[in-house]
Amino acid sequence: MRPPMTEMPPSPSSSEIPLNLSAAWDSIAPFWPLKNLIAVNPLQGLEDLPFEKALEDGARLFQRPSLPPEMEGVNRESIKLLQVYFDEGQSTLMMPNREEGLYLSLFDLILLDSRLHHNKTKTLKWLRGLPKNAEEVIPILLETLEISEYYRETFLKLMLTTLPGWASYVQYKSNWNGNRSGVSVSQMDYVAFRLLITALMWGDGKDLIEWHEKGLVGPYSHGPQDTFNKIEGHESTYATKLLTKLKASPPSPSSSTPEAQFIFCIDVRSGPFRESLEKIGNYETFGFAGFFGLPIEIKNAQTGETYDSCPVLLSPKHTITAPSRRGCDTPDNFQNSKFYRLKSLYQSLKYTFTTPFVLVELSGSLAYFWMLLKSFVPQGASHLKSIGHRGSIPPLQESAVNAIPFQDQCSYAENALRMMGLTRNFAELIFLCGHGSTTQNNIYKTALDCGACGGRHGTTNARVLAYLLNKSEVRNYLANQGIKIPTTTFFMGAHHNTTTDQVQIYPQDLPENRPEEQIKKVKLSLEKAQKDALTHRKMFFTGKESPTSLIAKSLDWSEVRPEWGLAKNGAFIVGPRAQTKSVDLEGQAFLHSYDYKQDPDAGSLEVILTAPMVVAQWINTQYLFSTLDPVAYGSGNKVTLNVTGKIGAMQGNASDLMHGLPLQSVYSDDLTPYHIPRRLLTVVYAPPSHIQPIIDRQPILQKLFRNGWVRLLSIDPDTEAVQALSRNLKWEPYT
Amino acid sequence: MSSLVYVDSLSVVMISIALMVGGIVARFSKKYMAGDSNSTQYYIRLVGLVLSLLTLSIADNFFLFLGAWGSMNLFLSKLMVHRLTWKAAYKSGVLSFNSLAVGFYSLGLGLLILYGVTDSITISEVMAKTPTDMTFFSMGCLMVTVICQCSLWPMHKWLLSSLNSPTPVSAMMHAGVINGGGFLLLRFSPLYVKTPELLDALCVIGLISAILGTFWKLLQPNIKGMLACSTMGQMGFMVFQCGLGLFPSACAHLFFHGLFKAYLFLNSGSAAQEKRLDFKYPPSAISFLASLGVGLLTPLSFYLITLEPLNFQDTRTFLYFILGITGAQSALPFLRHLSLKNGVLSLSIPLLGGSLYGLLYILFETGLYPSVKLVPQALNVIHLVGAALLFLAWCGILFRDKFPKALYAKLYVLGLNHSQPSKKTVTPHRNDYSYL
Repeated sequence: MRPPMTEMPPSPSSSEIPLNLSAAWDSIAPFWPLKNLIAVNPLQGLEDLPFEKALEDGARLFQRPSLPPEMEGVNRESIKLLQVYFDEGQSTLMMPNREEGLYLSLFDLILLDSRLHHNKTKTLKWLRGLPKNAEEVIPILLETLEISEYYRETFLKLMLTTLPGWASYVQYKSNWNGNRSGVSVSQMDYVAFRLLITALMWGDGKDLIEWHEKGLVGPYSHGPQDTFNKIEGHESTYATKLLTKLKASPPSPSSSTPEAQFIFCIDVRSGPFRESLEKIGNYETFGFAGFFGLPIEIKNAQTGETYDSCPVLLSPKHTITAPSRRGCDTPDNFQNSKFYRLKSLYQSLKYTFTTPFVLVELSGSLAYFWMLLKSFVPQGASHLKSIGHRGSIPPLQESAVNAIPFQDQCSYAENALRMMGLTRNFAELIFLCGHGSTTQNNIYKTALDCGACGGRHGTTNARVLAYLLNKSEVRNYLANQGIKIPTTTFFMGAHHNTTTDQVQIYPQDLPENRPEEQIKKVKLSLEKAQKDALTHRKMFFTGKESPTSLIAKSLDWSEVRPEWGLAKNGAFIVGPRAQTKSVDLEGQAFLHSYDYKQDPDAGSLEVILTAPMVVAQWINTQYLFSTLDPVAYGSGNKVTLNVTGKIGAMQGNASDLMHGLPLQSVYSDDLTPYHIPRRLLTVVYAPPSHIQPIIDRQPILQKLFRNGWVRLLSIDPDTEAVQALSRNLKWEPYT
Repeated sequence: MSSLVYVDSLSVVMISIALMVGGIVARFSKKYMAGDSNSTQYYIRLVGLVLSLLTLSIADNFFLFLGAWGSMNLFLSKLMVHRLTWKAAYKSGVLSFNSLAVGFYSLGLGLLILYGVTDSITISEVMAKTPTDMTFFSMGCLMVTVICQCSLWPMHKWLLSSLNSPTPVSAMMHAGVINGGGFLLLRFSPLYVKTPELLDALCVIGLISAILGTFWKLLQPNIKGMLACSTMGQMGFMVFQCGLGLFPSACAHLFFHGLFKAYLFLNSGSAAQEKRLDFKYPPSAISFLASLGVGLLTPLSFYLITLEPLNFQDTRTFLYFILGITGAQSALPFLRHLSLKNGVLSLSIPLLGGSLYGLLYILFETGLYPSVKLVPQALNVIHLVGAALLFLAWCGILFRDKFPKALYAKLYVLGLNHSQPSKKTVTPHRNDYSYL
């Protein structure tokens, strides 16, 4: 499902270079930009190695405490130029000729840059003589730097790993569809650029290899081992505790048809809310990937912009136009709105010469009033802000949903119901709950949103699937497939705000004859559940918190820990909710509903293990490594971060692009980790015989299990026997 | 009998901004700095900084003034470093401290000269005596201090390298510490008006800084870099206003810019969410001419409020001029799509803005009298060149697509390189960064 590693076919003239290149890029994980921060394993490129070995290699590549001073100079100039090349809208005066691509356009700048060539005639002459093509220039530069054939691959790799954040961004752009928006870049261009700067600034650049080799025998030989032992300790404690809990609680008997059913994202933050909700009434909850199986992109009617609302492993097939408030539903009337006018006045005075001098005088007092409000009456500030776009959210339009052809509508509906095991015993109200966070002034805002929706709010997906499941034509189709949904059953989209645990429902998408009374009752239950969940959650914070103070975090512009996100995630449980219902999972488990008896060919389980579980593993490793080393694998302290190009953040004046989570996402203070670094423990409620064929078919699963990136347990729901998959992919009784 | 402190309307303005921004920054830091193992030191230094600012605002005695000045800068440098483990931040602090120290010594020397001439050690006494000897030298020394403190060209590097600081420190720096330079000019404005050469020098330095700072601001790819360059430009403009003798306006600028910039820094975590609008420059000939028309009308509202003469003889004309450009620019976004509503807005908004500007002008002029007086100067060639540059630069942004490409690339690289932070304050190796 991963896109091909490299788009460049090896050309016959220089067959060896592209080969070296892709090997060099293998160790670099992608880094998604701030608009949709997808969790990624920073050592994704090392997943072919056993976990212990990857820890070691990772330390050698990314955790070296120092760099040769000359290379620091190379990095400094690289950072200067990369920032302006990748800028997606911070600067008003843009770098010229970016459409020519990274290498060519930056080459033109380098010719003018006396910090790089020091106006030396010889250097300038040499520069001008270079071919205007990245592919041709790479061998020449390697020769100039006197890198022998033997060391070429290593050297190219070091060009990337010595500035890992920016290389990761290029990996995202070139290899994960990132070139679809903004400037585009190829891996070849980036390598050529790094080599050129090195050749200009460090004649003896080949010494970098010596530095690297010193690191191979450095003091790292035992560091990672200690780390590994610590991680294993955390894991065995957790596994024992979890298994004891799971075994101790008998599956709660399935009662009569519930009053309402709720389908939440598998996200660990859904768990505590589901527990609260189930306590309140005769409600049943399910866990399912938060994009609800819809490979869609969502278009903003105002601006015409689109974003993918499905896992990055998929590419969207349909474009859904999101319902927007009346009066701003086309670009034209949006441009006539008060909000737009005010914004254009402000920006037009701010981003030019001379007029900002008057602008600051005229708006200084307003700015102060606004700061006061935000600091002392955040509720008021939030109200004031929403004045421009108040009014109820309009219903989903039939025309928007019909961007999905009928045949696909039917299959998405069927697959979703089958995969979560909801094919009978339908309640009268069924809520599909997408989720998203609400935080202010937060660089890492989207890291708290739905990973299954590509780092966005997943509510539109939920509303679309609900709409489909209400359609009589779709229901007829489902009935023919043996899934009979009573006519008294209504599906509804909803939004779970993970920062406040508020759930907002969207009855407006329903036909006129909706059951108002029942909806009202559910709304009340949701409010109760919110209070209960918040009361429970306040224990996760160090300070004195209350439900009100937790909600206040969502509006506080100075809050650096608005919610804990997916911190402490540790397990991925695939099975019927009845098995886990009476267990306090402490918000540490991804929960995917699944009933193996309804999945005889294990087709659903195959999808669950290769898609949601893989995403869970990305999240798990991101939290793990950001905690282990908040500098090399995380973004460091939020308080000194500086957003560059609107794509990422640097530390202070200028630094590597900081990929990974900031300190405040995984530490409760500078010294105390909040997250517990441990690898994902997957628990499947199905006998090994049901799971094994999938592993045999799927190389990705073999890789993850064999190398110990994920551990797998099988619990047979009938016999309660627990078996563990060993590193050599054999099942053994779990003790 | 010499007094230690002296409170006037200028002190009140300075005290207000120190307390207003200090209060917001303290409140903001409560959550923002939570969990920081160095937070006790952080708060001690923050309080120290605010107290220094307050003392400076009311200091009359030379020693108190100098002491407050030095301690303000010392606390600032310490806040910037925050921790000693991050080398780049340490170097930022050292660079700032050294740059500001030049200003400190220069201030000391200036005050020494004043003492030598007047035999008094308080500002109020010196002012009462209005010395004429050596004023050029004493005020020249103070001007050097202003250049350092306001991060004007050529002493701007420290500010452009100061972004390793925690965000609230930057807010406090740009709204408080930087203003020290402006305050110094305003405090000694009665002596500056006695030395027209220095006023012209202030104009030149101010203009260079205003234009360079704004140019650099417009090409910065990162938010905090943009804000730092912008401050340099704004301080340049403020000093330029002083050079024009429009001291009350400079004070208003100082005050409002501080509030505005503090907000932008504290809000810099939202930078990625800010969506830039495309104004489709260059504007059509018709909308550009129409906007110029609005620009010609805008100063009228200012005139009706302030009744300041527009005689093309003295520097007050400059206010009309700047307002005219702003009026034209604010009409432009509305003139893109022609409709009755847009037509009304394109005229009424600039006129409203002009009136508001007039009100603020009166407020500061009357409020500061007699501590800070308006002393318009006769227009000279420097002022005219300045006006031409500010107008051309503004047009340059509107019509940048018509700019020769090769020249643009050259200027771009020059601007980019000159606006880089000092080399040692950058973190080129990721693991050199440290938060502990």
